[in-house]
Parts: sequence; C-alpha cells; structure tokens
Amino acid sequence: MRPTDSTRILPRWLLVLLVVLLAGRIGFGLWERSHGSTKAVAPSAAGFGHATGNPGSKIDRVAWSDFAHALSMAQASRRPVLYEYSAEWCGPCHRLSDEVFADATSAYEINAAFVPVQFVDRRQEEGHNSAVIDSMQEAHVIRAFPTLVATTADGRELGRIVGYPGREEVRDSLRVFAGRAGGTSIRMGM
Amino acid sequence: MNRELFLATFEQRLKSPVRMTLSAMLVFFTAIGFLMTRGAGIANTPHGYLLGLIFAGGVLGQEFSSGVPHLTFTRPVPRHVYVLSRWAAVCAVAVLWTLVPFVTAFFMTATAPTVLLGMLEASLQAVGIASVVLGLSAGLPGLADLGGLAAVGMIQNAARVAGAIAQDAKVAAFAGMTVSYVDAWFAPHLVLSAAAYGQALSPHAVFQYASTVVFWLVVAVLLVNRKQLSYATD
Amino acid sequence: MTNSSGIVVEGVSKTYRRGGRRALDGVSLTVQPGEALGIIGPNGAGKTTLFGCLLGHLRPDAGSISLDGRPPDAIGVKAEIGFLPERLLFDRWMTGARFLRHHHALANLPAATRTADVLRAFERVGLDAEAGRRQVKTYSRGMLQRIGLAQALLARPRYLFLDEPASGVDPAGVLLFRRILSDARAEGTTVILNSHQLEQVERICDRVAFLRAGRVESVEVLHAGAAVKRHLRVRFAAGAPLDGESLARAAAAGGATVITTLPGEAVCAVADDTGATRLLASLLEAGLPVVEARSEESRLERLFLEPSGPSAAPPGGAS
Repeated sequence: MRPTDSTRILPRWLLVLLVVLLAGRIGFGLWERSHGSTKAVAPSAAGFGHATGNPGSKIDRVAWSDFAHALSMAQASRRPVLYEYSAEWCGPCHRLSDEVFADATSAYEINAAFVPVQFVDRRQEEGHNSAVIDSMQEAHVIRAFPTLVATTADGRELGRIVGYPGREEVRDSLRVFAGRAGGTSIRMGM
Repeated sequence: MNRELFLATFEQRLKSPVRMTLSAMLVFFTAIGFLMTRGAGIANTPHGYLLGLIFAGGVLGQEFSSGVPHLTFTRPVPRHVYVLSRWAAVCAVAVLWTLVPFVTAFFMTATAPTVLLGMLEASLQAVGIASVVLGLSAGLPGLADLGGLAAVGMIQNAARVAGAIAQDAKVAAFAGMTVSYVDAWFAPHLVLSAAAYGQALSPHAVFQYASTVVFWLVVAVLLVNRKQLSYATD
Repeated sequence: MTNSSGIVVEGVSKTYRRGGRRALDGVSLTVQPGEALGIIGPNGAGKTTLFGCLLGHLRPDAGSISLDGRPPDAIGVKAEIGFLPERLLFDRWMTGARFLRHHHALANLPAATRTADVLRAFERVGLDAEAGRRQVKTYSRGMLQRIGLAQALLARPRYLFLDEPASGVDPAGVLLFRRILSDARAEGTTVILNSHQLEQVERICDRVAFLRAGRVESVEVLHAGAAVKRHLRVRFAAGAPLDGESLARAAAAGGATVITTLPGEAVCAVADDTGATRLLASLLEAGLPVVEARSEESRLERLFLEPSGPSAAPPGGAS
C-alpha cells in the first residue's frame, strides 16, 4: 500500500472475487434449470445403491416405488408412504436430491422407514402432467417444490416439508413423521 | 494475511477456556460416535458446523465491545486485513479441531476416500458458518452474532411451518422459497459424499458455497470499514 | 501536493447520532511539528471526540483533518502516530511482553530486534522484566499507564497522542513520564496532550487549546511571560503585625490593588508579570515581611471560570 492509501478500503480483489462467484452461481443456476438432470419420469423400483434413470443422471439411493404398488406395500409392511413432489427446473429440489437422496445414510433411513414415491412435475417441459400426478398434487395441495408429504397407508397425513431446509432438518422431520405413524421405528446408522 | 494478527487470534482462541472445553467435548463425543458406528456417520456429521460456531462466535463483536481495536487501528494495518486475518485464524482453529475425530475413523472400516471426503466436507462446513458468523459479528456486539443466527433459524422454522399448513399457493411458495434461501445464505456447505461414488460435483453447488462465503467476508469488511470507534470518557 | 507538516484541523463538526448531541462544532486548530499542544476543557467539551477524529477512529460530519498533508485514515499516518488511551483495554490473556511484541509486530518493526526493543521499552517506562511475564489483566493502574506509554513510543512516532497520561501513576511515575516526554520532544516528536491535570499541561505544553461545548474558545501560548491579570496571594512572616494602611499604600505604589486581607496573607490584583514585580518590590521597600507570593489560580484554571454561557465549571474542571 502507498502511504496515502486509506486503511478503510474494500480491496478490489475481494470485490472482483465476489462478483465472479456470484456470476458463476447465477449462471450455473440458470444453466442447470434449463438443462436439468435426466431423472426418470416414471419412478422405477431401482434397488438400493444403483443409479436410477438414464446414464448421466444423478445418483439417487432412495428406492422409489411405483405408485400403483406403493399403497399395498405400505399396508403390508406397516410403513407410511413418503411422497416427493419436485420438478426439473427447481433448484432446491436438486439440492434435496444431492444432499439427502444421494447420501447413503439418509437414503437408508428413508428406505427403512417409508415407502417412497416420487412425482416429478412436467408442466414446464411438456405443458401438462399425467393424470395421476395432477390428481395427487391436488389431493395433497401441493403449491411449491420441493414438497415432501408423509402419509399413513390409508392416506392420513403425518406431516410435510415444504422447501429444502437442509439435510439434517429433513432427516429430523422425517423421523418425527415416521414416529407419528407408530409403526416401524427408524434404525439409524449413527 | 497479517501474520501477527493471525497468530494472536489463533492463540486467543486456544486460550479461551470455554471454547476449548466445548470443542474438546464435542470432538470427543464425535470421535466416540465414529468409533461405535464403525465410521458409518462420517458423511453426516454436524460437528464441523458446531466447531465453526464455537470458534467464530464473537470474533469481531467481542473485540469491539472490549475496546481492543482502538489500539490496533492506530497501527499501520488496513482494517480489511484485520478482518480477514481474524477470520482465517478462527477457521484454522475450527478446521484443526474438526479433523481430529476423523483420525479415529481412519482406524475403522471406513475407506480412505470416504474419510477424506468427510474431512473436507466437515471443514467446508466449519469455514462456511465461520464466514456467516464473521459477517454478523461485524455488526453485532459481543456474542450477539450467535443470537442473530439463532433468530434466522427461528425465521426459517416459522417459514417451514407456514409452508406446511398454508392453503394459499403464493404463501406456500413464498414460505418454501424462504426456507431454501435461508439455507443457502446462512448455512453454506458442500455435500461431497456422492463424489465418493463417482458423482461429479455440481458447479452450481460449488459456486453457491464459494459466493456465500465471500459475500459474508465482504459484508464484514464493509461493516468494519464504516465502524466508528468511540469511548466516552468525559 | 504541498508537503505541509503538522496537524491541520479545519472546521470539524461531529454530531453523535444517538442523542443528537453536537460534540464538535466547527473546531479549527493547527499543531506545528515539534510542538506540544495541550487540549483542556470541561467534561462534555468534545475533547475525546476530537481525539477520536485526529486518530481516524471517528469520521467528522464536516471539515477536514490532515497530518502531514494526509488524512488520519491513511496508512502512512498510522505508521507515524503513537496513542496512549485513557482506558487501557487489552486482550486479557496477553502478558506484558507479549502485548508489546504484538504491537511491535503490528508496527512493522523488524523481528530481529524485537526482544531487545521490548526489553528496552520496559526499562524506559520503569517496569521490570518480571512484570513482562505477568498477564496484563493483573497490572495495577500505574503499571497499565506505563505499558501503555511504552506501546505508544515503540515505533518512535512523529505524533504522540496522550489521553490523560499519568492518571493513577504515583509521583515517581509522574516524574518519569515527564522526563520521557521531554526526551521525546527533544527528538522532535509532536505531542498532543489531553489532560485534566492542568499543572502537568502547563509544564509540558507550548500551547493550550481550551475547548468548551464543542468549540475552541481560546488558544493560550504558555511560557511567554503573561500579559494577563491575576490575583497574587502574598504571605507575610508569622507573628509580624500587618498594618492594613501601610499595606494598601505600598500596594498602590506598586500599581496593584488589595482585594482581601487574611491573618498573615493578602490577596492583591496585578495587571501582569511586570505589575507583580513592582508590587513585590514596593512591599519589600515598605518594610513588609514578604515571605512568599503565589498566583491564586493558574492561568489555565481561570479559563474554566470565565463565563461563556451556562457551562462555566469550577476550577480544575469537573473530573
């Protein structure tokens, strides 16, 4: 610094760094929103530990069930159902997927305590949803993505999470919902 | 950035009995946890976040309340150097403590890549929350920065509840947005566990983390630059 | 750019947002390089605020301050100032030696000479090496002042700002401080002294600025032999009878007037130093047994008495 420089300046390099990083954040956010990840639209009964959907899609360790069989599975195994409502363009949905569904321990907990079902909204990409998704969204009053709704096998709502509050919060909340079901308790990895 | 300020802050944190006790207990229980679960919980451990809070709490606010910077700022040290040096030092202490429990994990069945990724993830958590606390500490006295963070957490919780019970579409959407934004701006972190299985890190996530951290550094520098130091004598 | 030396304060005003108190109202001052300026005034006059502005801790709402042509914020200025604050607040965990080493390093002084410099600094202010090993939070008030002064002088500053130095220091310490300050002045250091101890100010300073209600009311030049009216208290030998008439006559002959007489003492008003000499000569000529003569109040004390609106304070300034 030169002797006349003030001691109260914001260094230019710091400001530039912030601008660059914010630009990257916004830019990649928009890019991801338009490209999205190619998640399989029809929920597959992919096993634990396998990647779902097409090559190049994200890792998802949650064993999503086919909706048609979900309710009977739930009754048979005395577990509640966990519905996940999301969309490709929804940034927090991706974070939820990256941080919770891709994570071994969290996914294990979900698979153990719930019968998970995933509904991906396609109105942006295709203009409309399938009838099933539309009616489920209406039944569960879905207004924002992501929304996780836990219900008993006979449809009583146990709780829901709107938005993505963070991995630990999601895990904590899901534990609470599972507890309300009064069924199988979650066995935790830690 | 300024070696003396960095070292003095580092030493100051190490010589704070409350911080050292809390962090030692936390590290101990985390390590026990790793041991008992055979390293299974490495990827999900929150101790990096807590250690960041412990060491970054009051990093600027307590100093200004105690009057020490009155003398420091008569020395030829730019204020932003003061801020960044203190930040770097509390991050260093927090990260060092964060890494300790992972040492036990190395002796468990956990594989090396998982442990290394867990270390990195926890360290990034510590640095991330330290930056947020730094920014809050620049504007709030004493340990009120931690209080501010708690208040933000309560707002987030309120939004979650609102989103869950709201019938109006706009309200629910707004609540959901609030929840996500608070998480993005006040709890910066990078989840790396998927990377152990070959999953590439999303560039958006990396930029989100880095931009949040730097944002709070800039906030802290701006607030300290503007700060007027006074003490009433007469 | 003109390389003007010294400190120039022009039209500085500052109002605190909380309470809306106007602490400084158009203050203008200059400090010549190498001189010692005292700043005195009643409580609430704005002395601390002025100090804060000079040090770059506070930003004036209006006006400008420059030290050697640079604003107080400039890093070049910080390298040339030393500050002894009134209340010494340190990191509680630091030892005395660590504290000085810390400031030695912050001042960008070479690490090679650090230990020696710190040792010398301790000696200079009369602290022994054992004190350096103790934590600063265990220091007495006097020790805190000494180490504070040591810290201020570490980098051999060109401008030394002292806020109530030697308060709480024992008389031996006060003498030490005085010597240190005159040594510093001999090296050309400019001293700006904020003090309630007027005797100290009169001894050390070349000029004194009297602040009241945020304004500089007057700047007195000391040591110039004063053309100032004052009251002289003359003490006579004990036991000797004092003839009021001859006293009044002698006083008049010396160009002075008797204000009051007390057993063995008389208070007379004189016009200036010359008048004081004439009065004493006249009294002695008249055979009166003069033993001692003192000013009733110091010059500076009188500033506090002179009315200037509702804030006139008792002598010495309320502390």
